[in-house]
Amino acid sequence: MRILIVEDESVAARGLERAIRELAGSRIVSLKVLGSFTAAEYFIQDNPIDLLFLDLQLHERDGFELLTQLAADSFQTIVVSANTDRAIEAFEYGVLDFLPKPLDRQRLKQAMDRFDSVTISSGRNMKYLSIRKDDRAELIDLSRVEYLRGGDNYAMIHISGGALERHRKTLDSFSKILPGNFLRIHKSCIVNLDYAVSIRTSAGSRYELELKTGENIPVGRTFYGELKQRTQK
Amino acid sequence: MSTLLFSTGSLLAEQGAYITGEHPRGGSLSAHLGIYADTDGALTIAKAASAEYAYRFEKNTMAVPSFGFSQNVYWAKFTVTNPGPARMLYLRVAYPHLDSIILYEPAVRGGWAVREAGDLFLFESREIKHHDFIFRLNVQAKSSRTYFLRFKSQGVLEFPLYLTDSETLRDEDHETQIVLGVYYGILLVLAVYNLILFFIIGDRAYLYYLLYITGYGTMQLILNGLAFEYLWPESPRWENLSLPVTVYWTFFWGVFFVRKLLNTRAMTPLSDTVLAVLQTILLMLIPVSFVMSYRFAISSAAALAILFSVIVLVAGFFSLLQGYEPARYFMAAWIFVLAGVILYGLKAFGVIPSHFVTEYGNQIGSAIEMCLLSIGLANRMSVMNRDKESALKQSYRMSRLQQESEIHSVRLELELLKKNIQPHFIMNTINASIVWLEENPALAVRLLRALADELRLVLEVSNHPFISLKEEIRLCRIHLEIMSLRHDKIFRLRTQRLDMSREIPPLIIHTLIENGITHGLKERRRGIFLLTEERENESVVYSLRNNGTSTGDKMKSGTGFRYIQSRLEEAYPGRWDIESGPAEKGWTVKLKISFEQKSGEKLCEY
Repeated sequence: MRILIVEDESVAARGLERAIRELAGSRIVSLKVLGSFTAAEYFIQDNPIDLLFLDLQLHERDGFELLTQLAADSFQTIVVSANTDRAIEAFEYGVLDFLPKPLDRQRLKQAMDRFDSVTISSGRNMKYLSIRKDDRAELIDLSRVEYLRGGDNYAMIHISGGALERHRKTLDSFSKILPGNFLRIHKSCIVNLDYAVSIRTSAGSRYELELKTGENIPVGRTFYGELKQRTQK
Repeated sequence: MSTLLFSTGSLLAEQGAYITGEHPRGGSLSAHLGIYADTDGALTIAKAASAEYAYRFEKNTMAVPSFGFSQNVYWAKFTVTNPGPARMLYLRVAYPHLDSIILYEPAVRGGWAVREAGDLFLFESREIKHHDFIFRLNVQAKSSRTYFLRFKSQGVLEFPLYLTDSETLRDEDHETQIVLGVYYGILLVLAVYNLILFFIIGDRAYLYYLLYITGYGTMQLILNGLAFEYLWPESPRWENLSLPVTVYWTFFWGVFFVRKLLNTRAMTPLSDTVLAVLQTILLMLIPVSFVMSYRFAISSAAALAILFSVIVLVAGFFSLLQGYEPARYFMAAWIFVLAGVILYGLKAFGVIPSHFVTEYGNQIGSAIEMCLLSIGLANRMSVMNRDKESALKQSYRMSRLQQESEIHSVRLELELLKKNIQPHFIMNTINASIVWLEENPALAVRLLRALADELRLVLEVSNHPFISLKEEIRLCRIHLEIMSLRHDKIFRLRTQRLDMSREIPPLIIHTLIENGITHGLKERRRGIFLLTEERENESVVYSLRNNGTSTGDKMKSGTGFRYIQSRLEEAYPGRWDIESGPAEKGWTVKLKISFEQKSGEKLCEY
């Protein structure tokens, strides 16, 4: 993985870097430390990353503006902050994790584990999806998302009402942050089960998931079992 | 009705005889009296009745013969001429306080029948059980007789004389009793009323007033002679002492009451002192009057009565000037009392003659006065209530104000603490300490110590509106130490020509430095702050320069600046200003504080 740390206090940055290297050493392709977000923006333009550690003061509006921007990007963001009272809100924006300061190795390990997983866990409470529009990012309610279709390095978001948005994150990437009502039913599809109606069989013992919109989405064989379990509840 | 004609018994005396026919129902003997002042008291009846002394008796011209405090013995003679049948007439001496009255009645066979009365005798020895002295006179048919009366008294000597028949006596008494009954009834009701009020309200003014009323009522009873008749008929000695003692007693409580009613202690302290002195004199005179001569006792009582009235009137006047409401009723009441008492006192000293007004004006006046005083008391109560209410309102307002000011200062303290002891600050510092622990434990220790110092100092200064510049610099330096160790940079604060003793609100410079680090010194490896001060005539300008880049507008919008604003505005309302701009190789923030010429504000101590 390609990691970027944005931290203005060099001592804290050193500590975080050391901790990350100890935990994930071999898997790190690159690790860069920068002191300001402006510098980070420039860096990201030319150097794609997978994981961002960001020291963020979340008591002012700027912090959440920034989160909105970052959530629209392709990489995962972990917020590192001394201020924990708005941590829950940060999760609603779709950050991968929130690490309080002073840094705890265990918590860091948990965060890195999240980065590695691909299953959508039920404990997440992401509420907003950030979509890039021109040079700004906009938030939409995740409850309006019917399903996501994935490509190599992008995802198409199907929003209720017919709108279609493109996102830089892959489906695998989304799996790490989407809440539990979303389910991967196909290699290239994640569905919001709130919009699911029933499973239908089609020709050739293939399954399809019927949505409230009337669309039928093919269900991958490996994913059928879980889908069946979930829809039977 | 048969008429009787009598002539005078003397050739030269000018007084006419009392002719019963002319007074069918009886009347005053004053116009028919001859009076002789016996200065050495040695005159005998034989001599008095002799021709030699006949011309010495002077015709009385007073409505009521009144001689004040006289040491003399006075003889009065009158002739009763009765043209008609024999009658029983009553000679009434309407002054109960005469010590000795001797009546010489010419006996049929020559000589004189002598009868004696006076307030030195037991009451039951009186011929007729009456508060006045009454002698029965058996007037023969078709006779003309001259009677002699000899008076002596230690007190006031006056003798209103009346000769009436029994029916008239009874009728007059009847009327008198009703009038007196009404008067004493009023007093009794007032006394009971105030007693009840005293028990209900507990205000001592009612008690003093009650004692004054009962004392005054007793005084009147004594003056009317009713006290002797009903209260202590067997104690002539006490009867004689009772008047002065009761006067002192009554006025003692009267002064007490006046002081309470007019609230002199609080409102007119000078009056209060004078009244207190008067009160003490009165109290001391009570036991003294037992040993002093009656004459002295009575005359001093009369004098004190006048003194009392005048002093109290003056005190009331001053109270009125102060605008004390109850004083109005008091003054009105006291005019009446004053008039009555002064008149009575003057009559006692013989300055003015005895008259219906001097005798009864006193009682009428006092009845009116007591009613007005009761109203005054009620008014005082309502004034007190009003004052209490407004004092209560005032105290609520004060406590509200105080609460608000306390809240305000607590809020300032809270602002300061919240701004400077934030989790962000503490956690980041601890985080850095943990990192240092692994790299260079000595630095971790330094950092933790600096954190402890800063926290302790901030807590200490949090509730002070001002701290010395010296303390502020110290706090800033500790903070810079922390920042240096967190950022692994060098931050320093240098000072030049500062007056370290000057007092400024806490954490102003500290906040400016923080802002400087956050916004201007990101790029630099070293952050050097220089704080200087320039004193102009009416103001001081602090310049804080750092070698960083511009902070631009960012400075004015953060919570840090809001803190500075509210602190400076509170300490120097409208008299401060901050501007910032580029300086040589850096950035400068200037804080200007203007002094105010007038004092009364805690400013920089200059």
